[in-house]
Amino acid sequence: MRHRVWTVTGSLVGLVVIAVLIVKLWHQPIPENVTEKAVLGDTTLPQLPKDVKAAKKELEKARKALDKLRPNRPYITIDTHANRIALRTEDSVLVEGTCSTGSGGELIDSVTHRKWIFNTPRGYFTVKNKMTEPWWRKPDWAFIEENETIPKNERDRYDPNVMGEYALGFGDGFFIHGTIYERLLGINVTHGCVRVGTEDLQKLYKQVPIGTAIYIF
Amino acid sequence: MMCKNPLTRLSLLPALLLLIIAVSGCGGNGADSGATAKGWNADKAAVEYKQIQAELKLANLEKPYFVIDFAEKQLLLKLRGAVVWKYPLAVQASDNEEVWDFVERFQGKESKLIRTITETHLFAAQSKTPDSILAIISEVTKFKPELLQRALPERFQLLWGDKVILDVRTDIKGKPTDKLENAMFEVRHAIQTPFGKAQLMIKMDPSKALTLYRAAQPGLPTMVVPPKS
Repeated sequence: MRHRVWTVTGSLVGLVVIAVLIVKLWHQPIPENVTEKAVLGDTTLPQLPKDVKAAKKELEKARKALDKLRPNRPYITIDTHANRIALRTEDSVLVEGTCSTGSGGELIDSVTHRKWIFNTPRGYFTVKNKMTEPWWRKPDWAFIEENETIPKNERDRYDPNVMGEYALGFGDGFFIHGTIYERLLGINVTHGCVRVGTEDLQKLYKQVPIGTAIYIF
Repeated sequence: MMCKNPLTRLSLLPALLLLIIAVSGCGGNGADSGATAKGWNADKAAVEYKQIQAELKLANLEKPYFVIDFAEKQLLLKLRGAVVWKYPLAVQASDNEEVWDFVERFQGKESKLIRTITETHLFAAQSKTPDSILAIISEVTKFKPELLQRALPERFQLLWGDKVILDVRTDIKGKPTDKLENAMFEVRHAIQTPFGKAQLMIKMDPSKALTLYRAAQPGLPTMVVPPKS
């Protein structure tokens, strides 16, 4: 008798647990169009005019606007997810290699409470300058990270040995440059710059003029 | 009945010509209601215009967006209209029906061309860098090993609203990310999709899949280009 009571109670409890689980899972929202509106805003697209002449003109205008977006010369892509760099056109890859991009690490100065997050910036950039035998001007965080005092003399900030043979600057102190740590290529280890192996860097330097588009994603 | 009179035969000629013109005029594009005599296909133009407008909208966001192009059979990540990542689309579907199911459900009643990813789920992955190397690197670089690791996915899913699912598989063997969480994910979706779903399975190279998995975060705008019919 007692055994039967336990079985029935156990079954009932089991059923209740399953029911609660199903209800909970049923009501757990799959985020539908919440992000859609936030990201895309109004998704209503303009319609083509009914009048044939106006429609043809409008379509041609739209085609030209789309064409204008396509880079008309080779451009650099930097894939921060897989740490790959390429010089490419829409259909072909001219140079491709492994790189290292930002680690996403965080550094906080315990004295001043300044904070740095070491990400490679994403988006659209252009090659602003090209350098051979570049020297690294160490920012404050480089000293803080090493528990060193920030030098007062500007000359003490320069290091001629870490950026490899070439550097392509793309603004705000970010560069595509060489590295003495080639074994770390392919891993997100940098403070935001893009490190490239010697051979690939040489090819990029030679083939990339100032103004070349850089797409970082 | 034969017309033996030559005059009667001559009078029938213009009628025959008119008939030929009429037949050739409406027979060529019979199925296409938007066709006009001057080669302007209003329906086709409207579709192309809508696709261009969708792409222009995405390009103006200044953020990456994902294009599933069934017409050219390719997957693309684009930024400001430029292709930044490309992979041939090899659908594991037995026929075109699954592809059209996917496209139609993606477009929905409103014929949407753009949606955003609502959810992603990684089922299994393989560590890309051995732990021992990570330990050395993190010691040198002072970064946490988990920040440096980019696991290669074995299987993951990208989900859009209305139960549109892209199931990506690679040929590597990985470890389940969390067996219980994977099971709960499957159960939740089984419960929440009593009225069906559109799921398309594709195969991909692991390193390419790594890019797609990491780029395809919730909120990533996606555009679908239907197959050429």
